[in-house]
Amino acid sequence: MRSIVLLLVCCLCLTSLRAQDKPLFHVILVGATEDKVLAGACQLDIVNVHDQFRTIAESIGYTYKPGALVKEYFSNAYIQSLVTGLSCGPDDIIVFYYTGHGYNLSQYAGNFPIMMVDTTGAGNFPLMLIHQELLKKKARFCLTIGDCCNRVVDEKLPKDRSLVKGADCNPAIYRQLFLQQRGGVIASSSKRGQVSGASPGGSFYTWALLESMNYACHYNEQVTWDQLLDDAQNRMRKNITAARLSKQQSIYELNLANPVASAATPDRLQPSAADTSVAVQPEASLGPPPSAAMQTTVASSGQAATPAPPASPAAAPTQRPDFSDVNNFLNSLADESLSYQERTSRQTQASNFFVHNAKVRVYVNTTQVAQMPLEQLMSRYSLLATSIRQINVVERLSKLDPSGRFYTEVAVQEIWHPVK
Amino acid sequence: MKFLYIPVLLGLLLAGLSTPTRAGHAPAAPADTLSLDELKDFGEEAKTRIRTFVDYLGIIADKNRPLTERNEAIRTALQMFKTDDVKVQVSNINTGTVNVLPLRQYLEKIKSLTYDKVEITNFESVRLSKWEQNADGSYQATGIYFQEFKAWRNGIPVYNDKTTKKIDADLRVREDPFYNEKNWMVLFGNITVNATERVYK
Repeated sequence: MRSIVLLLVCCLCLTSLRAQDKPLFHVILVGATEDKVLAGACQLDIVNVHDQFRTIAESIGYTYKPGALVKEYFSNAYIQSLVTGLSCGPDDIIVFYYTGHGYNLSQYAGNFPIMMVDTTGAGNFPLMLIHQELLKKKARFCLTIGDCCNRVVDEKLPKDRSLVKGADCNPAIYRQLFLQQRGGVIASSSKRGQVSGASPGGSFYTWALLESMNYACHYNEQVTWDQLLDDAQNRMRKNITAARLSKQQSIYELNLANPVASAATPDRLQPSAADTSVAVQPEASLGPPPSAAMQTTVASSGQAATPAPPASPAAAPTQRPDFSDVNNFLNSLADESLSYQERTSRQTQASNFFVHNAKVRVYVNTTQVAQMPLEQLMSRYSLLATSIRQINVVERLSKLDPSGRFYTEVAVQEIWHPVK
Repeated sequence: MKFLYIPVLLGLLLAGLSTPTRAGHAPAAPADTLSLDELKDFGEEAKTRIRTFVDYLGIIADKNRPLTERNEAIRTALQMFKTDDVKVQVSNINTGTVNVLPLRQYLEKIKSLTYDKVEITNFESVRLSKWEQNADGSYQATGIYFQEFKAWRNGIPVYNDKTTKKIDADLRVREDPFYNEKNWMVLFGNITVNATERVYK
């Protein structure tokens, strides 16, 4: 039925309906009605918009003149031809309506999207350009509407992993992930209802996950799946502006049972709890372990993830700081989306992970280039938020106090944004 | 043939066990001299710190930021220098003059500029000369940074210049003021004006 209506609309566009005594109500309908994903929605859109504007035209005494660019007419060439060829009188009204895919580009300064009529990206028109062209027709009124994505798709993903040279990848980290427990992990780049971002350099979440794996293997002494996946989310948020702005939030579910004793670093393992199954969903109240659930919950509500609260008495007393929480804590101090006051107020949470004024060693490659008290480092990060892209804790070069819960010394690597 | 592998395997094992030279677990006495790689790493750190110095200037000058933040930027910037009274040359393209101020005074002056709005930014990446070793074992280098200064009154831009400045970098073993440990550290010295040009928009 929809197709028949669309066909009718197409036919109408080819006929001249100018009545001598009435101005025209031009409606150009462009829709991706044969797109694999959007076909159904776009067909409905075109039919409904067509009906609506026909009614409006009739009600204000205008002659309705629709033109539908769908099916084989859905192309940039037809759009250009129809827009440039449109002639109208001073009392005419023009409506341009687009439904389909869309995008934006970092080098394109416009706020309005580019219509993705050609999926290869060739010759696609910015919606604003169409609007400006139509305004030149000097009609009485011009309405341009685009119902499409407006995501910036060409944000360059950072390429430099800048790993500290000499900190070789430790296979024990991979053994901890894949051999020390049985079960499964499922992870997805965005939560229900969200879209996942990508750029020509790769998909956002994949980039962040690979970064997390790589850093964990080079810098960590221990890792768990929830730490790794939390770290991936934090890296995506900290490093990729488009992911941060769209609040893209990854999700995961762990179904892990019977941790297997391993010769890798048995003393570093987390307490062998009974079956661990953590489903990270924003609304769920999950109980221990709290950090994964809490971080995801907070971040999904549009705020920055916050470090886990101090371990409750019920928590394992000898559990070392979760590296993803420590990384996230330090990076939150340099989170430019927060105000200076918010960043500095977070400094009080240092006591969750560090002894008072722990010693910080800053590394460039294998060289310790600076040493300072934690308080000084935190102050620096809070001030320089816009310049710091990522802070990485090098767990392997850090030291814990005798309780094993707090760092007395922490080694960090800083990655800076290039000068703009 | 097997025997040939043994030295190779041993070598690989030893290589695999090697850790960063200053991995920091034990505060060993710092070496008397630095390797080329270490000098390169300190050079990277020096460039980062010079760049952050200009970031601090931008924060100090920014009247939209809270005073606590601007004062903290002064305090943190001072920690990057050998003393509070290293000398800073300040140029003015309108008068053609170059004045010299002690660092703390320079930073305070930036904080209290009478314009309505001030922006100080890096407009190009920092450069650093090669480290030259002194007779006492320390190293010296000269950094160059590129600072753009913009000022407004009543919403109208009234001053805009781009200045290239030189900054002395001093790398030597110093006693850490907090932990009483001796470590190689970079601190900065005097700042001089290399060139200033007006920006026409």
